[in-house]
Amino acid sequence: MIWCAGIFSPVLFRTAQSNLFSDLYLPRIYSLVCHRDALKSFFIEGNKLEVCARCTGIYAGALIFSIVALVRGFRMRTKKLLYAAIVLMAADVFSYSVGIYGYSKWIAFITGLILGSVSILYIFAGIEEYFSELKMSPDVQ
Amino acid sequence: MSSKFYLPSLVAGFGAAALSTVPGVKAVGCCIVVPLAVFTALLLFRKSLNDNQNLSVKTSISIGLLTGLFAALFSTFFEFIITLFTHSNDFVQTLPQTVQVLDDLKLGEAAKQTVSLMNSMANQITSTGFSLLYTVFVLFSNLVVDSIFGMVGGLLGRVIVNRRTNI
Repeated sequence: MIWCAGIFSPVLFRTAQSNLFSDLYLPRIYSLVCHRDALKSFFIEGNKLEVCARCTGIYAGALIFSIVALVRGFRMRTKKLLYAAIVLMAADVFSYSVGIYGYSKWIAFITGLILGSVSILYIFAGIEEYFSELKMSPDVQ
Repeated sequence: MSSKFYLPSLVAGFGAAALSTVPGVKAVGCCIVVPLAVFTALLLFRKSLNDNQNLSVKTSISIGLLTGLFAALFSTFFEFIITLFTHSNDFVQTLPQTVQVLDDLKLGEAAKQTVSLMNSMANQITSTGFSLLYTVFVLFSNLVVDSIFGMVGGLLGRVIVNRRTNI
């Protein structure tokens, strides 16, 4: 949630007094995980989000589905969903890279949203399993 | 700790750091370079085990963390080397725009001190090719971000690497 707040900070905190953290350090932190290309990023009321459209989708999907998973308690029983989400995003990257179609922020956002949503469920499942492992045996290989 | 455990992380972390220095890779790979490196490390680790045992979450997260740490160390080292030889980097190149933004914001004394500090770092880089403060800042941010993404990559990579699904 904090990470996503940082992404939307140019919009969320635009009325507050600007400070060095939001104007200097946050862009530097997000530049480690994203190219932050203005042409591939969303603008809300003239303010560029801290990461590109695809990364915005990934983190927004992860945030939304982490809340949904906490409330509903999803259980992932197959890998197919994760594979499908990866293939979908890879297909988009491949398609615009070879020129089948031009880069679309919305396609990037949606494929990112799907991957982020699906991934967080597997991450939650992994964390749950980790605690089960700890209960069963502390030294399980 | 067995070499079977840390060698895959070392190799994959080095690969991720090397890839991150290639112009254009970040534009395509974005935030998936480190998780992909962790996936590779998990595959290598599993191959080195010579059995069909599933990887535990603890092992996967540990390999992910280790790969992230190696990636951070190597990428900081590569940036250090490139800066040392070229006497320039992204920070120096974008400094005029950054200073302009800070000037526009009219932040007062705090901004003046920061600009002075940044100018001092940029001067050190352009004259000697090295700034201790800048290197420490880059190392710290790389360590934090890469280790987090490494652990996330470990959790996701385990799902794919394990043959039997018990998620």
